[in-house]
Amino acid sequence: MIKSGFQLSKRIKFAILLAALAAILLMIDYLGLDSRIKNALFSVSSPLQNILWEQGQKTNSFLETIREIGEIKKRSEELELKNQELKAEIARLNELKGENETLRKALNLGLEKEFQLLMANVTGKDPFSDVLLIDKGSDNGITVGSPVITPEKVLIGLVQEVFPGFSRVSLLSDKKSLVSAQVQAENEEIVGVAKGQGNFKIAFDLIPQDKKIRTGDLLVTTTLGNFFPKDLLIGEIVQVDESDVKPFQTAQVKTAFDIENLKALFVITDFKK
Amino acid sequence: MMALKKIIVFSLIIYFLILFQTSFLVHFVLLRYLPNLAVIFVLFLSIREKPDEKTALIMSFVGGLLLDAFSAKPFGFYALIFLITSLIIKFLLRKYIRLEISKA
Repeated sequence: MIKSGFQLSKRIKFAILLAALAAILLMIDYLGLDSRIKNALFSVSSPLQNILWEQGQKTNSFLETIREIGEIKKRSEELELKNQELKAEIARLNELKGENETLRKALNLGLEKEFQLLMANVTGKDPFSDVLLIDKGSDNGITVGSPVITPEKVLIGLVQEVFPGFSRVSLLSDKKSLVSAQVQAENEEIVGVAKGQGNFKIAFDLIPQDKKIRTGDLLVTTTLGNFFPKDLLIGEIVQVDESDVKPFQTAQVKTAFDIENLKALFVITDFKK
Repeated sequence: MMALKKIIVFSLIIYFLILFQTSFLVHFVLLRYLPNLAVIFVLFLSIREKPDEKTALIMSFVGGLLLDAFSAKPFGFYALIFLITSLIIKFLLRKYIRLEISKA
C-alpha cells in the first residue's frame, strides 16, 4: 500500500510537472517571449548555418553538375537516335515523292486507261548483260514476258525471269532481245525487227530495200505476235546502213531510255490485244 | 553529474542535427523527404534507454524546444509532443516489451 501510494504521488508529481511545463510554455507564447528566444538562438546559430548553407549549395551544385552530365549524354543519345529516325523518314518521304511524281506522269499520259500497270523500282543491273533487276515479282502478279515501260511510255524490255519478290527484265538492247518494230511514218508502214546488240545498242533489221527510212525517225512497237501493246516508243534511228548487196536494209537505233535515269518503271500486266 | 553531462552532449547533438538538416540537407532534392533527424535521435534514445532512466524524457523535451525554435509552430508545440511521445514509448516498453540491452 505504501509503495502504491508512493507510486501514485510520483505520478501526480509528474503530472503536475507536465502541467507546469505546459503552463510555462503557454506563458512564453502569451508574453511574446518566444520570438526573443528564437532570435537569440538564430543569432548563435547563424554563423554555423551560413557555413552549412554555403557548403550545402556547393555540394549540391557539384552533384547537380555530375547528374546533368549524365542527363546531357543521355539526351544527346536520344537526339541522335531521333535524328537518325528523321533522316530515315526524310529518305522514305523522298522516295514516296519520286514515286508520286512518276505516277502523276503516268496518269497524265493516260497509261492506266490503256494498260493494267504495276509500278516497280529498279534495284540493280546485271554487270555482264543488259538485264535489270526490279523489286516486284510473282507475288505481285508479274509473269514472264510482261512488257516493262517507263512513265513516258517508252518500252524498256520484257520480264525474262520471275522470282517471288523480284524479277529480271531483259532490256531491248540485250543480245537475246528480238522485237517486232515499225517506223512511225504518216503514209507508209515500214516494219522490221529491233534486235538487241548488247551494251545498250539496238539495230533495226529486216527493212525491205524499197522502203525509205531516215535518221531521226522514231521506232515503235507493233502488235505482231501480241507480245506488246501498239506504239510503245523503242528509240530513234541514228544511222541507216544501206547496202545494195544485202536483201534488207539495217539501221542503228538509239534507245529512248537512259539507264542512268531509270528508277521507277511500270510492268504491263495486261493490255488490250 | 553524469546525467547532466549526457543531457548537454545530447542537446548539442540534436542542435547540430537540426542545423544540419535545415541548412545543409535542404539543398538536396532527394534528401528533403528524409524524416526529421532530431525526431529519429530522440526516438532512438527513448527506445534504447533503460526503463528506469529519465534522460530520454528530458532530451525529448529539450529536442522539441530546439525544434520549436527553428519552426513556425507556437513555442512548445514540438516540446510537448516529443515529451508525450517519449512517455508513451517508455510506458509501452516497460509494460509489454522486455529488451535485453547489451552492455558491451
